[in-house]
Amino acid sequence: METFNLEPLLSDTSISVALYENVTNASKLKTLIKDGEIHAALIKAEMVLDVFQVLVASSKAFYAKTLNKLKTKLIYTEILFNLSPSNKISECFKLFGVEDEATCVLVVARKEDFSEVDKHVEGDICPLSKLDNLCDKQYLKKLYKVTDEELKVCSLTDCVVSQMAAKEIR
Amino acid sequence: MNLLQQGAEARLFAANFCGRSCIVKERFPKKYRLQEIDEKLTKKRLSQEVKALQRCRKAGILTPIIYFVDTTRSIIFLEKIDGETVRQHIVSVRKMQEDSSYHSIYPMAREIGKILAKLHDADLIHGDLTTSNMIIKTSDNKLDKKTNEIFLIDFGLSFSSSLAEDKGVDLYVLERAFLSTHPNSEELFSVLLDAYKDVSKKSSSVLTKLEEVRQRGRKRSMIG
Repeated sequence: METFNLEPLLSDTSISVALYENVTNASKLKTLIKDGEIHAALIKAEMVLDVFQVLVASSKAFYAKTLNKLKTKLIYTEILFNLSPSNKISECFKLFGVEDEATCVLVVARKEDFSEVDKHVEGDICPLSKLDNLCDKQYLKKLYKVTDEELKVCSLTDCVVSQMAAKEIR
Repeated sequence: MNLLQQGAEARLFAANFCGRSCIVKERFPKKYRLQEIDEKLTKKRLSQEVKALQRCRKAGILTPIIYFVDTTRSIIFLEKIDGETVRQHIVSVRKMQEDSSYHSIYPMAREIGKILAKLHDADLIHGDLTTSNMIIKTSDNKLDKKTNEIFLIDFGLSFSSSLAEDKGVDLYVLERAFLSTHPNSEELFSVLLDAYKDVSKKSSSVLTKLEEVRQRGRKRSMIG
């Protein structure tokens, strides 16, 4: 689990990001979030290449909330929306949201809320560096339409992040 | 966040974004413009810059990564490239030469020519090509000078076009910038153009147009 400050946009907001494996209650966690009992985003670990991807999506979501410009209902669903190249909300949830039977889950929550969320997760916390092994890079490359020409000049993470950040500009 | 530069169009700040050093580019409102026009123009420039940065990367050109875009405040967060502008580099390298020649900069000029060839072959026009809009990244391995990477920046005036005229003008702007900033750099620029010609698949019409545009400039007699 690592904590990050969302400066310079929101220097008084910090988030905690944690990777869990051998999770047995993904479905229950989703319900708890939907019901507002816990406040966190559950992200499909196989879709995350680097924690920076999640930080960019989270910064955008928390910032949009301060301006009252969320496109989805919650900050936590907004994070999923921001991670996706698509503008269709349902597609974003399908691609980046966690399935009921999922065993690898990436959790994002406000620093203050994290311990509460952690209590509910039935799984083993592991280092974020494991994301590199878990990630389906080929799929991500295809989803974001990253070409080999692009990869000569920057990393896959950077290509993905750049597209995520520029999503509204078409 | 600290202010790095205040230009006519935007303010640049240095900041740390999620653990990475970045540049924050803020296009501030221009009071000398009519508000309605200012808002539209600023949004357009932001949009052009973002689109151009993405397209450059797809064409295999080094540009800063976009980290965050705020269309409401016309702010963009970009990857900070460690290094100096090509302008500063040329000035400092030339100072070190006893004969003030540009010979040691020829490889870099060739590299720039190649990059511009890729840009124009992708039908992208930079719109403001100067040696201050190119950054030469300080390579991590100080011994390996051959791997100095050159990044193109500042795409606010960019647009897409397949016209040789637009590409010719793009090169002409750079030529004027070279000649006015770096004295006696005609040969340096022609080295750049040679590399452009070698790499570009559409160079002949562009170079013809460049010659035409040169004839048009200030203090030129328009005898055709």
